[in-house]
Amino acid sequence: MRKAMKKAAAVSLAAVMSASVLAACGGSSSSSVAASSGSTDSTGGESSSESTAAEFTDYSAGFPERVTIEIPVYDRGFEGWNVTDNYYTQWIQQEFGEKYNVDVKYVAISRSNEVQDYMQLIAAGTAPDIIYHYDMPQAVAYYNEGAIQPVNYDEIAFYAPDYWANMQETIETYGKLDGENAFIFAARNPFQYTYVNVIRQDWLDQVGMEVPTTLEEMTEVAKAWKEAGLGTIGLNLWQNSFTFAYPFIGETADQNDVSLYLDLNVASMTWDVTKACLQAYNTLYNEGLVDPEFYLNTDDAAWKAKFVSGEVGTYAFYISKNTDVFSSLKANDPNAEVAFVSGYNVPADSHNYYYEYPAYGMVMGVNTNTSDEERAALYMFLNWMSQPENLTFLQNGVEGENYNLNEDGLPVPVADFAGESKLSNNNNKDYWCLVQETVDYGDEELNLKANIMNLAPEGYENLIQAAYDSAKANLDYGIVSTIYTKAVESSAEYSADLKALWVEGYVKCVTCKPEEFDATYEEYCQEYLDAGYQEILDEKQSLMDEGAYIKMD
Amino acid sequence: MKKDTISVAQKTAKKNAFAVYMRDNWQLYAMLLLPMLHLIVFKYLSYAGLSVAFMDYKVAKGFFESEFVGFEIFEKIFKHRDFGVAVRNTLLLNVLDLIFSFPMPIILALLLNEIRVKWFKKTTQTMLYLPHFLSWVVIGSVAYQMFGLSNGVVNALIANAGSSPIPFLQEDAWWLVTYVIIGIWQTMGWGTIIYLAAITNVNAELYEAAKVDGANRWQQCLNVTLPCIRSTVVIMLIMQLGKVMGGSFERILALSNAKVTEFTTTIPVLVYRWGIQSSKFSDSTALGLFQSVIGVALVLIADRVAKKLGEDGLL
Repeated sequence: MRKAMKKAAAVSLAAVMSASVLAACGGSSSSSVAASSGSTDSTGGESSSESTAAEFTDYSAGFPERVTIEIPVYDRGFEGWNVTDNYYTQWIQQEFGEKYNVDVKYVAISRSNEVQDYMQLIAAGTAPDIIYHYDMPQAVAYYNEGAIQPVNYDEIAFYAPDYWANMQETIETYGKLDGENAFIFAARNPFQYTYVNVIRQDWLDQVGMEVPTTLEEMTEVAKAWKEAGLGTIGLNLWQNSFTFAYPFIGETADQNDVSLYLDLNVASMTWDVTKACLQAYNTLYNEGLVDPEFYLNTDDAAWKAKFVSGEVGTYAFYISKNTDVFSSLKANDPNAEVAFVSGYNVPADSHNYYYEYPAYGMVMGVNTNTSDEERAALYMFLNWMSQPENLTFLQNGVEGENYNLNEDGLPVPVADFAGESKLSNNNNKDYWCLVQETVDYGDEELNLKANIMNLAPEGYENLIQAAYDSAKANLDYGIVSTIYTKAVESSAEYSADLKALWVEGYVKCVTCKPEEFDATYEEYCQEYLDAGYQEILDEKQSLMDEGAYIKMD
Repeated sequence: MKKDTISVAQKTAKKNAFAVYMRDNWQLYAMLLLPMLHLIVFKYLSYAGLSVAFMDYKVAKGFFESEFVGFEIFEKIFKHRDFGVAVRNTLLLNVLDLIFSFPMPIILALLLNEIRVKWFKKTTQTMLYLPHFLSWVVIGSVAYQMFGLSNGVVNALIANAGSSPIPFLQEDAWWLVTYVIIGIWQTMGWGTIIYLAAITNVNAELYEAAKVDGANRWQQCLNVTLPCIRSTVVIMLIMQLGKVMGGSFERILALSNAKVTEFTTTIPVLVYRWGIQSSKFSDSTALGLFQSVIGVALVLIADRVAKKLGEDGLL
């Protein structure tokens, strides 16, 4: 009896396990079948649309058969938030999906690992209908992989008239690549001031000095801090999004140099501006005025930890209402006070140049496998989201529950609202980022008021006001990096290797003895050029010579 | 005629025996199906992916539509400026590991074998196994807490003792030393298991005979235990040689920083940088394939040499 039981258990266990394996295989194979049938649809559809060019079927009464569109959404790991199924995705399905007979299916893309996620989805043929990225070079990389289909502007204008009206100029200006209409965009107001630099006011008081406005003044402050036994200047490791060179550009920016060297993805090692920058930090490092272990600060958390624990006296970050920087700082040192600081990393003979965002937000491409009907539904979805009432709902939630309007007509969030229509931790940004990058009330004054209300931690409202004033004063010094209308192929080929070499070289240049600086810098410049930078510079120069870039005014 | 019937009878008997055997034991075979399936799907079918090394692979085009380019990718990676450095560093780090980390479990197993107090032996063993279960990410951050220049515990002690701090992880030569030592610490306990098992198989009579001949503990260890576990040591060595061109990527990622870059560019690091960071899957696969081929060659050569020297070998 007992033996029989054992046998039965073994059999059932084996059966369950094999069944689950088979089921898993079956699941994946059936989905791949679905994907491939989708792609045959699209090829068939394309040829038919070519023959009946410029005539689009009107679906405003809804699709005759159920259409499924897959929309990507960044998963930032917010606690208690299901990115693909929540109050707002259900609302979207209810309001848009049911009306037009469309299933709006959200696909989670992990924010910290997005390129890898996308690449795997593309390889498996299951990528969502929109393939997006915040920066152009990676979007171009997706395009070069063959994952994005060219779009037809007439078709967008037909299915998404309001979206097209908002974005036509941006799309026509920036959306072309190698002569094809590759990308569509979300709107972005390039005037931003939410990245703030702060300095320890109580340390300044202790040494009897004012908030520094140039690198030279900052150096004096840091020397006084050192004598008083306080901390150093905070610094992170420059390993991506290279904007370190901007403050050192000098009195006037050389247009050709700026177009050639300023690149978020590839550090401008051999530019004389970079040399001046590294030289300055070499001096600071050797005098013991900057964080001596800055090269360990590979992420924001490391720098933040040093700031709140009082090791360094400066910090820079995107301010938000629920930031823990100030509360942690106060918990460690109840006397700590912070002040807004600007220009402390800019030499007196230069200007506060900064990376200015281009006029577009999210860069989006339509998946190669997306069929005609899905594409139409997609455009209709963008158009629906562009409607002010829908956008407002996604950005603020339910009036009277999530927020109340104040006398300026601005939504004031209800404190600690925890109802079912609670917004995600970044105010549902990852849903409405398809059409707009920042909440915009169409008026700078109103935007400022709203930002102070929505972004400033309590008691720190002055930081946003100061950041606004400073950004306003520096408006002339924003530089948009050059956008080429053809793919810079050498950049995709070498950028990862160059990044590794840059980090190695620049850390050596900053940390070496002052008398060794020139030799170290020269050595790494040569190596950097040999490792592919020369090719990138040559390719960019020839693209500029043939005019394959977007001219900024 | 008669002969035939007999042979038929024998055959049916044989068949019956097999059927009986299967009827009694088929569950065991059913249980085996799953691991076999796992092996086939994840270890053998994935070999097909190596074809990427011979194509100009584009993810959206997939295996069948990407262009076949023969050995072009290999030519490209062999010419890459980081390739030579990576091979040098990989060999350096792994040979150092082989010299310093490989003997440690053997020595430790011999020492543990001499401990007679049961509970002490058990406790020591457990504590030695523990590091094996820590991920390199955890070990890396603990290492920086311990050996960091400005915040490290060890350097705080050194500073209090009046000496100047030592850049354990922040200078190339010191980093190499720390890398090897942390590696030894992490692997030595777990490595003892197989040697301890081999030691328990040593015939007790040999020890008695040695005692009668007047051998002390040290001499017993040298002349009885070591020769008896020699074949195990050789097999472990052969398997270790297969890893000389590979090595742990996480270990380098967790322990390196931007200041120490002299020895950190290894083959696995390049595979990660090309394959994951810049999505150059062909380059990365080709490099991985190169590494595996060298690894297999080393194992085969070592196996031959071991057999020539009169050992059993691995294959």
